[in-house]
Amino acid sequence: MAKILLVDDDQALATVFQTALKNAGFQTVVAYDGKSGLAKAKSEKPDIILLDQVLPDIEGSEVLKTLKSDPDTKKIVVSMLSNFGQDQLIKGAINAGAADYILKYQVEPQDVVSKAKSLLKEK
Amino acid sequence: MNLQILLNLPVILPSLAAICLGVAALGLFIEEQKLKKERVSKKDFETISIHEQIAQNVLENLADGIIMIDGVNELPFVNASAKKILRIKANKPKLADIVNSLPPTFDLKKMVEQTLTENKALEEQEIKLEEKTLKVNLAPIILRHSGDERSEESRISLVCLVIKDVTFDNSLSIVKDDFVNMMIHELRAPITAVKGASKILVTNKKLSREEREKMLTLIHDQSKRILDQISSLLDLAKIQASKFTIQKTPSDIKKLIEQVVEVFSVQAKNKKIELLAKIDKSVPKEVMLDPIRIGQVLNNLISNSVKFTQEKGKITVSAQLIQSGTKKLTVSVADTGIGIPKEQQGELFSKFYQIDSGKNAGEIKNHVAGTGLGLFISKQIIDAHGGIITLDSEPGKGTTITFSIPI
Repeated sequence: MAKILLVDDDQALATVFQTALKNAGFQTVVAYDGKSGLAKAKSEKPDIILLDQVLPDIEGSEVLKTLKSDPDTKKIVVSMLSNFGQDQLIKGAINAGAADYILKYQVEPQDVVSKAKSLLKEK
Repeated sequence: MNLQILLNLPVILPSLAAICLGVAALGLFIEEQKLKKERVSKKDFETISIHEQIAQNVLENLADGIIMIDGVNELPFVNASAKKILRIKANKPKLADIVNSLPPTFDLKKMVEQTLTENKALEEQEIKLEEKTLKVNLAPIILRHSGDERSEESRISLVCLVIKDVTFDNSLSIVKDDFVNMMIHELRAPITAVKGASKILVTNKKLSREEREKMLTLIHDQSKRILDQISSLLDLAKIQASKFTIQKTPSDIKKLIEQVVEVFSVQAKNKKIELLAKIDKSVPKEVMLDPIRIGQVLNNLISNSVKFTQEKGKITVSAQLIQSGTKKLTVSVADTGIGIPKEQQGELFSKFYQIDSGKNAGEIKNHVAGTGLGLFISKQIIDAHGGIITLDSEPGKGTTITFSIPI
């Protein structure tokens, strides 16, 4: 069973995505800030990380850079998950090694499940 | 001596009145230049200059910088604002002083020539001068003697430079953009959650009873969050229109605190945060305050603490009665969260303020949900109760926000 780590400070949205992913057969772990997201990426060894850009302590793009520079976590597939879709942010994330950039408000929970499935196939 | 001024002045001065006065003053400037050439007696000059001196004073005191260049070798007219904006120290600056005060990339002489050759205003340019942003306009001004309008010799060509310091305007527009971005986030997030939760309920028939209840509760709570955001915007409008009022009634503050703490207990538990209410015995059963508004303050403060406190942290909401002089109810929300840097603490209660973790100017700011209007509105509520709200925070250690209101 593939494991997904959701890093999102918005508890409501995290619960929605978590419920959809669980019901699609994924194992899920949630972190509500950047620091615990980084810690859980190491301890839980997820297959995929869905990472919010707006976090209370560390920006998602910074978390991404840290993940990609750590030998323990650099191979984990990371997709950004954000309410902001400025080109600058998307380009920055892709350049920093994000596999995808999901705009939260444009997707249904099922779309996040489909994205997660296709990211697993690409792995 | 009577000069008729014919103008070719595009709309570049800040107002029509300024243009008229500027033109009159310009007449004086030209007059001075002509006087030098024609060796007219000082007495004659004084008789024509009285009302024009008034105009020159106006031009001198305009907020925008005005520079008039009469050919490249003459002493230009430079008003006080232009000297201030360009940091020119010379009392009677020469053209070289102006050129030197501008960035090297701004070729003033070439632009003056171009303006005169093309005989039309150049496109407005934005230039950076150290930390300042300036908007610069160049336009030609053609003047002729009366009775001799067609003669080329009597024609005087000038270039008028209008320099506007737009540093503040630009920063204001950044603040507005930030506010719009923040509101987009604040409304989009709960609406996306409601949309997602309802979609799961509709499409997923295999949901457990527990999950179904979780989704329904979430829809309810997030709808309330949307309404709260809209209420905040309405409060802001009321504050701006000075129509913000409170209605004090005898209220059970202990119950109020416990209710708000209860609302956040699930969120705190999810983050493994210990959330406690400590009500001192000194707090009376009933306190005169606006329960809805004070509830709003508690809601804002606790919500921020939950947001900014990392896993396994602690949030303590305490209340006590202080009996020195007037009786005061003091309530504080203390967390072990990420804290606020010293340099940002002073601005925390101002409108739209959010901690900015963007490092470079122009970088998209990291908007942290929930702190935009909340603290500003909280301060207005406490002010309306005649109380004070203070902050004590240390980065990495935590934040305590305390409000006390006379009762």
